[in-house]
Amino acid sequence: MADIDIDLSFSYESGEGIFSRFGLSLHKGEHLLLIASPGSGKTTFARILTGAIPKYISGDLDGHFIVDGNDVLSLDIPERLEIVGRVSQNTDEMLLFSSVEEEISFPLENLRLEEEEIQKRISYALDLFGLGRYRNVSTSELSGGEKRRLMLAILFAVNPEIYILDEAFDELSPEWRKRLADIIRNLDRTVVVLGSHMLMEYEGVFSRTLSIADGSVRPYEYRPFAFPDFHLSIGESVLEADNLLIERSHRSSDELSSFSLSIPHFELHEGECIVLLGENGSGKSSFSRVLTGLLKEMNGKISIDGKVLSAKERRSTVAYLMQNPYEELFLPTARDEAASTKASEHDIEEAFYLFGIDPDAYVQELSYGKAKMLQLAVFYLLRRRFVIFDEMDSALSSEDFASAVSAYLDNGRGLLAITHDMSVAAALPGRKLRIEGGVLHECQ
Amino acid sequence: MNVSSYIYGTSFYHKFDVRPKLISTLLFSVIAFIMSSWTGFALLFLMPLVIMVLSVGAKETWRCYSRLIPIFILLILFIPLQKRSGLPILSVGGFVVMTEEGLWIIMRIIARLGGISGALMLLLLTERNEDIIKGLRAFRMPYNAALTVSIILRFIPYLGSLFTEIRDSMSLRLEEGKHGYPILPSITALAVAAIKMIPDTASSLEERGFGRRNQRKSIKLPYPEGYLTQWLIGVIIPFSLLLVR
Amino acid sequence: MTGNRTALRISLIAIMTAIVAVFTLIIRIPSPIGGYISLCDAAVTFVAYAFGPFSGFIAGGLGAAFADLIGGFPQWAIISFIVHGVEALVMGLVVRKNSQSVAMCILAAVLAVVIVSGGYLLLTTLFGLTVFSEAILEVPGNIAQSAVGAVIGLLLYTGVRKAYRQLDSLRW
Repeated sequence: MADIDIDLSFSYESGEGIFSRFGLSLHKGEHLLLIASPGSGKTTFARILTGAIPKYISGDLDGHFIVDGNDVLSLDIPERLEIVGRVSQNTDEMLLFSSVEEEISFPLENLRLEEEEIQKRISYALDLFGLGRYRNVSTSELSGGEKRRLMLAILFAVNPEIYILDEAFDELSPEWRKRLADIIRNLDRTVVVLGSHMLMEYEGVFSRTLSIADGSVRPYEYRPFAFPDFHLSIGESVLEADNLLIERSHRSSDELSSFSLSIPHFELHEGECIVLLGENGSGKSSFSRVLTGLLKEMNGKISIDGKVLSAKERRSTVAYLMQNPYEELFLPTARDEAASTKASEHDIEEAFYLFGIDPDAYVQELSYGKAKMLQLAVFYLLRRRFVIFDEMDSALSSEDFASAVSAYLDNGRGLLAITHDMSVAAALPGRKLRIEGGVLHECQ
Repeated sequence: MNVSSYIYGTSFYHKFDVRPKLISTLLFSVIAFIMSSWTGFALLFLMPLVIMVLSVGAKETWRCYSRLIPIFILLILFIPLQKRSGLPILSVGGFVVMTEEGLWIIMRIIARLGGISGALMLLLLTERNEDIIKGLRAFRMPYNAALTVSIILRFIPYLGSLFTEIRDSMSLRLEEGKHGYPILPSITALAVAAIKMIPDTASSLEERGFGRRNQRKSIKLPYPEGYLTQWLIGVIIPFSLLLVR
Repeated sequence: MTGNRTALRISLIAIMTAIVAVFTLIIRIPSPIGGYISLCDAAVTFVAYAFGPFSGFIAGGLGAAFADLIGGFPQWAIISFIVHGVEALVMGLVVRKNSQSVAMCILAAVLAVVIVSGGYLLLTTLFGLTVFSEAILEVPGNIAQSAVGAVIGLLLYTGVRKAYRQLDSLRW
């Protein structure tokens, strides 16, 4: 008999069924990878195991989650601390305190560990994820990738029997993805990683790979996804940046260096696709914000077809699809969002079809991945000539991502795609740029 | 947005333990209401000011006190007129500009307002927010209340930056040629995002062990060297004001 | 949502307090008569409508007090706590969950204006932090601000309820 046995049936209060007899057996210390498309219930699964569902998101739950002969579902959430823990896909929703140290010591205090043990675990976990020098830093000043590593550090400091990592490789740079894969490989705890598509870093880490379809566990069939041949029809119009200098400074600590980024020359044509690579915190997002007019440059000029544009003018020409889709969606339903773009009824229907969107869905009830699809549809309808995708590939299936890229490129938009996934970078057409040592340059 | 006014330093007031500092601040603020002598007013106003200059420097002190100047000016403009019946000490062309009573009232209010503001600002400048919470907990502030305050301090800057993000992304969706951002949709989006985080935060608290049986809720603060002396100074200084009441 | 609700209450109070503080500190609408209008009262009104008198009292009062502490006017914190706490408490009592008629909303708005303008006048004078003749100068501004706040707060509540259907399930 397996050490861990899961069998779940669940539907949300709205009646939307998610799992019917979702069965999974695991051995202690086993490393499992679950790959499934957005909206298939990965996050719901993680939330059920820790107890967030059904206590905080109501629904009808049936079944069991047995660890060492005891049904964990009968335990109140805090009593599961040593049994199961998760890193959530949206890190902002899990942060509670102002400083890194408070954040990580809180669960350890709740375990009633001795002060010495607490300090030992904090140093160990922070060092493991390269956050040692951030101990007294404010959590609001961490970048997306750093917040992800903090959530991982908390989980490793608590060290429960079962680790659940919900898209935990998102937002991490290729180097950190490799480090995390190594850490998991050497961990003698049960680990379940949830992902929306295969990453090359996953290789050799897991004993099994499974999938979710129609509310049940299915075997995962590895079909190496071949990105289609994208047809580029480069247009006349061009977005250019010259001698650009961008600076940002951290306030709360001297230990964090402020950063500066210089871009001698950058150009993006209509219909062109450019990939942008770089470490966490190297300034990819800041560069995007400057191009789109949300952040002021220190120096340099940005022009379209030779005409220098002010920050305000750029906002309605260059679209920026931010990492967190909820930050760009404001209205009650998907239909309201689409209608706000003032596009024709025909175009809206087409976009809904293209991006697989249910027009009546409530924005705030969409899963992270589905919200990204809606974000894609909204900016598709806005018809900006130039578009920036900030890690758009991370929470989407490869198929969805590829069709989104095709949709934008076929319409002649100039696309700048930021990614941490080298296979995505290789599959996309066009030039590859990298930010390294504070300078933007062409990859060889 | 920065919710912390804390300025790093190694002055004597920084080294003062948070517990006597809290009590000292409280005593000073209470005693401020019963002062009624010229010397008392001067000490009330100057004491926090001098300590602030010594602990965080003149520039920071000016930044803090300059916020009070418009309030002081308003007070000066409005009080003497009211007290025409008092003994005139300054008159221009037969018109009484200032009376002794008027001056007395102005000075009392300025000393009180300046003194209390100064003492409170001094506390916020020399202690980190989390240390103030620890100090309050040492005085039996309930665990759940302290936890709530910690979470408030995380969410104020977070929601502040979220609003900036929302306003920015709203502006990205405007039609060409339009500027600014729509206020009502922006604040609605902010409120929705915040409310959506309520169950998430509650869940995060519990998933990290809040509410466990036998959860540790007590706090042990170490006693620094000279702790007793600090208490004595912290109590004696505000009380000494009573001598010149 | 069943079981121990302490964590939910803590989160609700903390996040709503933060919302009131952020609305007070950051969001400023240019006023037609010059200067800026802070949205403190809009947030207080919203919390009272959405979460009732008790949560409103704590979050409204604390939020305004935190805004004073952070914004550099710690001396007003206690007064702001009382004024905006009571404002939310009274509004929350008037517009009980099931009786949000137009008349009740207007009554709540009128009471809010009276409490805010009268409260500051009374308390700042009473605490001896100013004199009556100066405090009375602030009254027109406070009336305008709380009246605008009451209207925006109600619009905000209606908008949020439309976008987030689970709003009522968080109330306690």
